[in-house]
Amino acid sequence: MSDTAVKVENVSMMFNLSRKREERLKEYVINLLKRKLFFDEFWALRDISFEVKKGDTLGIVGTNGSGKTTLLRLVAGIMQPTKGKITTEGSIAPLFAIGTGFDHSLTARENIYLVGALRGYSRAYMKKRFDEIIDFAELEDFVDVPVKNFSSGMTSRLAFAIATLVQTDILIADEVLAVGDAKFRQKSVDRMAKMRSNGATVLFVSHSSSQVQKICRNAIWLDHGKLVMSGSSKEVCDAYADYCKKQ
Amino acid sequence: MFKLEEQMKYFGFLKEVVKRDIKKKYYKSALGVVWTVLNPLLSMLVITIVFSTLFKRNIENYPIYLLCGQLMFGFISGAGSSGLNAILSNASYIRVVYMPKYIFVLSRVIEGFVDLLFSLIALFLVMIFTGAPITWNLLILPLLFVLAFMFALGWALIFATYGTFLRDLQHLYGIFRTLWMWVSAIFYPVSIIPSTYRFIFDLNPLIHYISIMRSICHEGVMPTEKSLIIASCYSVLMLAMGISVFKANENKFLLYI
Repeated sequence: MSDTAVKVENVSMMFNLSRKREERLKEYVINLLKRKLFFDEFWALRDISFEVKKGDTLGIVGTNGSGKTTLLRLVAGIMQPTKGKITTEGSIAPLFAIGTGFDHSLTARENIYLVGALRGYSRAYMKKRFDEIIDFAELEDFVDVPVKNFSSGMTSRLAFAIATLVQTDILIADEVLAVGDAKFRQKSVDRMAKMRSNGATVLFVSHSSSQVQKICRNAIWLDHGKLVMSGSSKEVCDAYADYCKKQ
Repeated sequence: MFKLEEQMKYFGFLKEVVKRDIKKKYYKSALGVVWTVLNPLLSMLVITIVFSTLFKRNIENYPIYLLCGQLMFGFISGAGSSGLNAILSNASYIRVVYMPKYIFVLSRVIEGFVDLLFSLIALFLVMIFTGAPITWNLLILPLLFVLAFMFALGWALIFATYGTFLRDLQHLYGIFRTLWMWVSAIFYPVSIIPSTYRFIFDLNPLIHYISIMRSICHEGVMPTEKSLIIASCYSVLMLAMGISVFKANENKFLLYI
């Protein structure tokens, strides 16, 4: 057992950003004949290396499209890096703003069991914790309403409540505090703090550098897929704020 | 790497997904799951009325002959079409959580298999009603179903892979399926095909599964060893092919959904 929770070594991620992907047979064949199939490479991340110690909180700041979410998806194991290596130790609870993993035609109740099963919890266990989840997400009146009728705040509250249900080793939080109201945001920050004090490592992405400063001890700054700076969250956030002002 | 312990973690999810999809399929329909039994019965009835006079002399107990072909064809070709969008329709999970993606294909094949088992009720009812031979050979049916399941899963994995990259396959597959149905001798006896064209039927793997099922349920005899061996080979081969194609490509799915 090392004391490193997440180790990212020389990671690069390339996307084939064809403006229109060859999804139609005709185009595919034409492009194949023209040998133009694999052009338009886009490097979302270039040669990123950093380490996160166990129990640490790492904030990731950067403008839109700087590669923050891609980096988190790589750490969560959803995608594999084009180059480099990522090692993680322990269980991972991912929480992404780009999608909550809910089936929108199902009700909150059905989704809780489904997502629970996805994380490896039995139906019986989820039943036991059910009220707690609903209580935390403040959805008492919407238990049997399909998630498609939820507001975005309600959906993300539910997602947060499920993701943080069990103490995990690594919590990945991508813009999770962006949608909830102030009251829920405070509740979420408290819960993350509690998980951290129980030994969880947190990777936290946000546009708001004040939030990053409040929650994280260390931070890194990404710009156009490159690591610009890493250090204590205050240093990094100050530098990032300066950079944003100049723009 | 395939670690069983790690995979077991996802079996609970597999169960929930299968349950969800079956529930969705019969959502708000008055008869619900009864349709799985009624569907093959009714379509058998229609086809029997149309074709039975045509093949009266060639095939005795036409309804059972037909049902055997229909059920087997429906399960295996259906696995292909449900595999085609297995990855796409579960994009909401694949985008945000890591999990072995074959789960989504496996769940589709299991759903088709559950349908097949329900349809067996229809088959047995018709067998009793028409006085088809009910023999100990029926005990071989589970073996046939295991083989068919392996074949269907391999087949579905292949189409799940290429269906994700090439959306056109969903439309092409429908046409292919019609063609496939006609070269599977579901409605007619193979004997009416001139021997020069027989090779098409010999090349069709599905024929072997259907003919084993017919031996068991239609003729009430033990299927020949040769047919069982051929079917086993096809099953193992198709599954191995499906797994290797799927494994080689699964990491690219995310870029196409």
